[in-house]
Amino acid sequence: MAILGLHVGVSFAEFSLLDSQSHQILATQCIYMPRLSLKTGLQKFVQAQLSLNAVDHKIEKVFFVSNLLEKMAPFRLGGSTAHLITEGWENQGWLSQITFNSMLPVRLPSVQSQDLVFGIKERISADGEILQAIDGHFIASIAAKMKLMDVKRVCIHFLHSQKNPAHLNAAKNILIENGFEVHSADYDSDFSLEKNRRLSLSAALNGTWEDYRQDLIAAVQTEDHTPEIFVLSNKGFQHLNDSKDAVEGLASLDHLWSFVPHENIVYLGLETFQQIYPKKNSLFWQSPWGRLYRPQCEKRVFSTQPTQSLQMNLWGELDFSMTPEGYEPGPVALGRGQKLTVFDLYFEELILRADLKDWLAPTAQTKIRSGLSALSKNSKNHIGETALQTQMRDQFVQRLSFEIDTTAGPLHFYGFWAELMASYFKGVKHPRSMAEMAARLGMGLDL
Amino acid sequence: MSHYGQLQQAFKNITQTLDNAALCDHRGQTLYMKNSSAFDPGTWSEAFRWALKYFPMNQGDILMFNDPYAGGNDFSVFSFITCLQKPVDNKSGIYLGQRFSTPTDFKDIIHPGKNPFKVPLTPIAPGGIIQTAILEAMCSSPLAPTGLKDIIEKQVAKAGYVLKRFEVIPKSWLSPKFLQTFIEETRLTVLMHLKEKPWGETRLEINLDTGELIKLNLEMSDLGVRLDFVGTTPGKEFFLPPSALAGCCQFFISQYTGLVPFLNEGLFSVFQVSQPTTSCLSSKFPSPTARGYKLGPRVMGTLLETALTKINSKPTKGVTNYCGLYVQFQFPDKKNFEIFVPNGFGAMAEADGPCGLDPFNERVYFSAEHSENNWPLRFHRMDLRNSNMGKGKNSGGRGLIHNIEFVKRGEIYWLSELTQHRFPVQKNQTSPDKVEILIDQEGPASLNPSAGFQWVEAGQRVTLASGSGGGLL
Repeated sequence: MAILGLHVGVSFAEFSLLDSQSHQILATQCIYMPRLSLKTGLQKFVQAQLSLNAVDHKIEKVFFVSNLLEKMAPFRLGGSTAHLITEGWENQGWLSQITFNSMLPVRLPSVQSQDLVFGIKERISADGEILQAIDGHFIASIAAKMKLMDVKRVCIHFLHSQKNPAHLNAAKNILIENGFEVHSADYDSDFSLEKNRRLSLSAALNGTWEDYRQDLIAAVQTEDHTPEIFVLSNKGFQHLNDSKDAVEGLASLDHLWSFVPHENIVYLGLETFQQIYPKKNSLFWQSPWGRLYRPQCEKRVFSTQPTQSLQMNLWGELDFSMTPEGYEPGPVALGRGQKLTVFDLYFEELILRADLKDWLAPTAQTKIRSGLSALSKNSKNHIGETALQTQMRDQFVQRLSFEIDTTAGPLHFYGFWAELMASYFKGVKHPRSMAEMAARLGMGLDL
Repeated sequence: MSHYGQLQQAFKNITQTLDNAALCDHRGQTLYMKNSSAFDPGTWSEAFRWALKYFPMNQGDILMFNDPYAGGNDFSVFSFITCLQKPVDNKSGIYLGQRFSTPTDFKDIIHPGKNPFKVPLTPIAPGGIIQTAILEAMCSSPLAPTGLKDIIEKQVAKAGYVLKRFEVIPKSWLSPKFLQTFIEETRLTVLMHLKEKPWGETRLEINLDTGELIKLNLEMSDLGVRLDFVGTTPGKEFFLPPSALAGCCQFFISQYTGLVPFLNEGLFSVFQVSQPTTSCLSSKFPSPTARGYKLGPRVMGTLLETALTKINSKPTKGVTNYCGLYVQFQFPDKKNFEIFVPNGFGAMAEADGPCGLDPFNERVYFSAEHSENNWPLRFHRMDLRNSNMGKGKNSGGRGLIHNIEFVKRGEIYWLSELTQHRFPVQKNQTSPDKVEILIDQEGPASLNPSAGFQWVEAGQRVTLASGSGGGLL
């Protein structure tokens, strides 16, 4: 029998099939999701294993980790989720947060629709005393209104409902009777802003997470066998049927690190570079929707990323863009993008990687050379494209060296780029993919 | 290779653990500044000059101070200067500045007079090792803020971390010649940017609620920015030292003109700021500066933004009158609880102005449950304020309204931006809303929102409303 480790990122997914007895890798694959959907890619992979007709390639269990939550940031969320909140707080800041990164404040994406927020006359004091009793008839009338608005899910954010859940339970019962899916915060915290935002985000993504769950089941099951699927949470792997929290399900990779026995990790993943401190805990996550309650190990996302494009900086020097371009449309090497990125600078090495070569465009090398040539002509020192490529690579590695914190203990490099980059730094290089690590963690092996 | 971009990135990365940081060379020229408050461009320059003049430092030495007349911010802000690279032959030294703010008691702002806790430039940690005798003497002062020892230890540890990280920067980039070219190149780039901005001259004056009149002549050209505060009256309650004023001017104009990435001496050198020596903007010891430091950035922000908008023949933004409300609740045996009710912002050319939705600008977070668990207060409403002003084709952003009940008897202190007077607006702009504060006393009673304090009985409610942004017709 075999164990399948699955890591789904924003644009790439990795599969790693391990023998459950010998723990050896039987097969691996990486798919680029803008070209091949996760469901189809996974189905093909599973079918390919079945066609080998080997007993040890039959998948017994699937262990799933993902970091595709941030993919949802550009989307408008919460169209079918209503919110009941203590009256007076309908417009509180958790609806959509503002940041002051520039002269004008920038509003972060909202986790809900303002039309579906209902203020409820109820109040519980900080001591748990009922100051204003909830009116069940009013909740029933709101429920009738929400039915007309095609609401499927309802979040309840009553103040101090952890101290005295009487109002929460009363409202919950009425809503469940009316056929709504009800979400309420049972987080052990009194940071109501962060809790509310977390709950809203989980509810808003619930439908998406349900679709992923169905896709996963459909992709791995065969006519005669349905493998058990497990999703990583902060307490370890749990069965897919028990994994109801969309935020945990869609960003479970963060929890993988807390099982790694090192203090200072540099994760040079295919999609993101970050430094992780598994022994340090953080209560909050600075998400694209604002800060929200989510205990996890401390991490710092680098400003140096593999999809930063090449462009002129403020001094007229050739430099890297401030924000990464991402993989959609992505680097020139993947055949969809037009902007030269750091990824393209390493095309010669990447084409040799078995997991990636299927996705790289054969004509990309010519395009990259001409792109470098054009940049060289615009830059201050007109050097050839090969010299420019070397120079920009050096610049990138140097920039990475500025980012990496070497003071928190010996460095351990993980991820796709570790093989290419780690040779420039002192530290231990771990060749395992995240999919393999998920499978190994699921089997209770060392990471 | 992109040396200047790389150098800037290196500075950014080595200071990543600090909330507020500045780096300077052996001449006291600022090389980099991060997450600065509006005063920092001016005050850090002053602080570095004082420190380098009186304290020759070795690598790892740390100085501490909080004197607003020697490059500090308010007395509640503690500044630390660390020598990252010892100068050789009085050249090539690199210094780190970092700051930490402690809570301010609004009593001391509204009723100045109490002696502040003053720390002149003090070598607190030679070679990174804290001088225990000095630390204990400081902490034993009855005026010392609570937790000062912890603050100093943490800041010294953070400076030590930066010192270790500093080694990743190539030595050739830290040579005086390279750094001077970096500053000069930045200056040229800034001047090129300024060429593309609207040029002109404008005059503006605002009356502060505390009685001062601030007059500004602003001139922008391809040669630089000249700000002259001639005609500004002497201070009554609002005082700012010259370095803080220079910092505000540099900060806001850099933001407005998109020059923030160049926060170094090259940028600062294109500004020329002058003010009468007798005015409130040129205050000297012992003028109380707490109110100036608390509200100064918002007063100056309003003034400079409006002046810059006036340089455009037809403004493309509504007026942002920074009319938020700072409130502090004080109860016996409880730590003071401070909230800020933010204002709305001026309308934009293509959209309404952003409203003051976020109670704490994403930096400090407000949680009703947490606050009610820790203070005898009950928050009944936190909402957008309905307003009549700031209207137009595009409306100004709405302010916020808070309704708070006192569960026990306590005091409330408040401060707003000192610009309650009718604000000068252009033809295509509409005026923003003002701040309001009401306390229920057998019916709501409106209070002077500029500054004040009141005892509030248990069960009474307070309504706090911040102002909106101005509209655009």
